[in-house]
Amino acid sequence: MNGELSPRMKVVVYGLMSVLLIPFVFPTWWMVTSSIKPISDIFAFPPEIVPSRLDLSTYAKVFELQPFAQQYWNSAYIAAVVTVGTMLFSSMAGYAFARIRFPFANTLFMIVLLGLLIPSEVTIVPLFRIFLSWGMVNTHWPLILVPIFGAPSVFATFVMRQYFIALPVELEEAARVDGLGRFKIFRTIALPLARPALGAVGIFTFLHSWNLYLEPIVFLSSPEKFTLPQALTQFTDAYGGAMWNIQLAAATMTAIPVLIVFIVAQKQFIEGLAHTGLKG
Amino acid sequence: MASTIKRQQLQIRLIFLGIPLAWLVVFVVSPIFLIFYLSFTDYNILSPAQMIGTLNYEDLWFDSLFWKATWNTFFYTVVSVPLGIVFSLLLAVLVNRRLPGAALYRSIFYIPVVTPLVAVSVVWILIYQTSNGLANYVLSWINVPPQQWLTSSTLAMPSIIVMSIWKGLGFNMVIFLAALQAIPRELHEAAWVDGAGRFRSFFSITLPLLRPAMIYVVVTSIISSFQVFTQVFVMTEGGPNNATVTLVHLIYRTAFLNLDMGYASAMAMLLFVLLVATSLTSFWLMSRNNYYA
Repeated sequence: MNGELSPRMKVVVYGLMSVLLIPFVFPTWWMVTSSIKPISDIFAFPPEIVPSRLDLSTYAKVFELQPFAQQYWNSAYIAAVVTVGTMLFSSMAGYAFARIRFPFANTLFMIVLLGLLIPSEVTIVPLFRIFLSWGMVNTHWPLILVPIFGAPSVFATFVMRQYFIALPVELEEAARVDGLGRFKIFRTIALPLARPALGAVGIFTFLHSWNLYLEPIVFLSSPEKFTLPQALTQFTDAYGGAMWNIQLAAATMTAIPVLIVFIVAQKQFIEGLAHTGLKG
Repeated sequence: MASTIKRQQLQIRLIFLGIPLAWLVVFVVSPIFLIFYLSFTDYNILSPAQMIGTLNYEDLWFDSLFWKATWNTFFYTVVSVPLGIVFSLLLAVLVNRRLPGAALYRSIFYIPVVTPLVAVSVVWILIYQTSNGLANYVLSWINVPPQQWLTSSTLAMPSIIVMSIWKGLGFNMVIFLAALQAIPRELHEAAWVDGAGRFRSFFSITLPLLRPAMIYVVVTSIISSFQVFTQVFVMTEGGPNNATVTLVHLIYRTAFLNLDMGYASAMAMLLFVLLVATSLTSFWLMSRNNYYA
């Protein structure tokens, strides 16, 4: 930030960043390497930083003890549906608030923003009652219906609105003169231009759904319906003690897809986040 | 022609706003009214809700566990939000340089943010083990005796806070980074010419210009720390001796383990009031400066 650094400062900055790296990398490294150690080596003292013996049978056990493949699928398809739904709704509502003039627009927008303050952690009791009366407890419906336009999507709507406002309006006006309707303008001009914001919204919605914990443990009771975070902590022995090696293998498998996507698309993750919320 | 445009516009409003708004009302807004009603009832799901007036609120007033959970939630917020902000800002300043490899460091600091919280919690339970955990092993290098990170009632909450700060640093770092990069270099150069040092330049130029990002980070951090649940549930289940019970955790226990839904609703109502009060204060701060209008 203050222009060129002297070589000595460079060494200091790199040294500092590298020392800080250790606590950021280590827990993830520990999770992955411990999951392929025999259980006795997980608790070796002093701890084994690099595994000396491998035991991959843990990974097979994850699938034997629970319908883990099914749970994987549950998490994946729920997150996919929620992500698509949120992207659709938040871009439509965000576009409307940015471009379409209508009475009480600001009042309505404030009401929508209030939704941010009503996370499902607060409303979990009435939500349970509502879904119970609809016969939807122990189904995936609550995990899909609530987040699609719940508190996180309100944030998404805000992000989309800010992005649409910042887009030059002239393109859309030219298209309108050419006789295009609002729908067409939205779909063929505004939406493609808003791709960076839409990407950020997609990424964060997916992560949010993938990591959801309170809602699954409240609504789901049969193992074949569980989502991954919920299944993770269920690997316990007959006495209720955690089977650490198996939990770690399951944790690794839960984290790996997200980490791979992150490594591939880190630019979108980080720049997308930087785009959101702060401009406008 | 004019009438078809009018009709089309009406359709657009209905579809673009109507569907999302209706959704919001059904799944987000209406539950708040329901929770307000339920907080005045005795309700256990199995039988219909019975009106009992303000009894739940009166009970809350004398419920030491509820106050403990409120205190714990406050403690978590008051400690983790400022520390998290200071560290993530320092981290952002550190990686905000045009040095080869800086982007790689940035990405690595971001890894905990994308790792699922439950997976992270499981790993940190192992790190915090008393007899053979990594934290105590590192401390043994400097001759500190083993600590009971998660099993002592004084250390359990600070241990959870450390883990949570670590998990969230990268997120706030990126937001600060974006704000830092938006500051024109000329400002710092001018300050340099006027004889201001690095520190003076940081406190007089950088920090004031970071204000919008700062407000945003403060508000989102406070809102999310009021809702802390997963790490507490997985790592300590609120123990030892209720030292880590938080409001959302207590709401969950009261509603779904004790089936005392009316009482849990009264707690949730108070949590909602807390959230609204905090956020309105910050909205007021924002609008006063007109950054977001």
